[in-house]
Amino acid sequence: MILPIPNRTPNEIGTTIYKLIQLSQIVNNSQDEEIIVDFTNTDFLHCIFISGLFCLIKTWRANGKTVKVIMGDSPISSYFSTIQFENGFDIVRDPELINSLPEYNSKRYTPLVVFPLTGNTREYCVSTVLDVIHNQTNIKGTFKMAVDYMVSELTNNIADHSEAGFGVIFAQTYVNKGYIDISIVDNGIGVFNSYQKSEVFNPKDEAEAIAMAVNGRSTKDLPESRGFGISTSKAIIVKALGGIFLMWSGQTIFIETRESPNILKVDEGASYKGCFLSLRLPLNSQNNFNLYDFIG
Amino acid sequence: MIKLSTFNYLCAPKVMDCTHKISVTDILSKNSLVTREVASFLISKLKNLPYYTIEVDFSNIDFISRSFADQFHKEKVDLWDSRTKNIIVINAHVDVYSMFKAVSKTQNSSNRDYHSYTLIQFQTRRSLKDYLQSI
Repeated sequence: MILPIPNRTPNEIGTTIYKLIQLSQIVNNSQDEEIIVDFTNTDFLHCIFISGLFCLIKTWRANGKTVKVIMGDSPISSYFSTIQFENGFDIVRDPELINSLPEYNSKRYTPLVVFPLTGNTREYCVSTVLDVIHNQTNIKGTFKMAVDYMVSELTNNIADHSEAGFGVIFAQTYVNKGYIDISIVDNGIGVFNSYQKSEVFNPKDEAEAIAMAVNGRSTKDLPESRGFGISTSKAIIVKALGGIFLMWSGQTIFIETRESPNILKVDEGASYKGCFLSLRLPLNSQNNFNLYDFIG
Repeated sequence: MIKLSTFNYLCAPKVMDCTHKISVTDILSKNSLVTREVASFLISKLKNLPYYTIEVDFSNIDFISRSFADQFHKEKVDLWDSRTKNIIVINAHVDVYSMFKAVSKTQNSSNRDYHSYTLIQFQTRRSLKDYLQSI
């Protein structure tokens, strides 16, 4: 099967997610064992689409599919090589790679960082990714604190709940468009299964599980302040920064903007194994808020 | 009446009765602290010091995550409650203090608001596409 990769993807998150939904539907509804992902005619892909497709491919491969990536003479082949699309900037496989992450300081994007979920390497990896984002964007003050808060909490969430073997983080700054996009992704058990296994809450379906997650209901049965990572990050993005928060897990998508929060059911065979988080952070809203109004 | 802090101090066994000061960066060569594991690691190092009262100097720490702060706070309180150690955070940046304050205020998760959301289902692929394109 040759996967129909679009020539371009737009900047709008909803449209980009729909493209990923289409690809997921095509593969899930197919019996083909071999998938060819051909970028030969592709001019531009938005980072949300890239991180989503990267993790979908990892899931397809884990499910036994053979996935071949063809770049041909595509204008994006150099960029794809730099972000290491084929296998990711895989710190799980080679922890020494962390030391070369600062080479991205002068770029506007990180590579597709595949980070471990256990041990001190995760600590060092997340800190180094944040340092690279700071150097790339020159963000300061409360906005910098907010980015650090969200990335640290959402990567910690993957470690705490996903039961995945790794997490993925990918960030790109679009200076002319005025925002940073950050994807934080895993291909673990997903939000609904995480709640089902916890026995603390008993959501009836994915939509209720995602509502619990964005409301800060922790699956951890501990008398401490758990469950704040997603709920507070969402509040900072939407209420403080005027950005967009999107979470896709299984066949359900949660998306919140200043206009409205919504939970959508994605049927017809499309699903995301694990959890895909996409954060759009407008650069022009820096430092006009008190971070602790949203997290305390 | 004896103060609790004095009682804890008097009851702390087999430790030196002077205050010991240690910098976080003596234990962790970093200026941002992210994971719960690192918080537990830091506390474990402090537990092994032969002092009851330990002032932990955060002066070179630029950022602590909420998870780090929560784990550090919880284990610090446990040590205090068990009369094992009195750990005092000193010289922290205002944002580091604010994070510790935030987690200390939110230890009881049962008081949080809950917002309901309406699940939107689509009859056709086209209607899902149109909806997403509007965002």
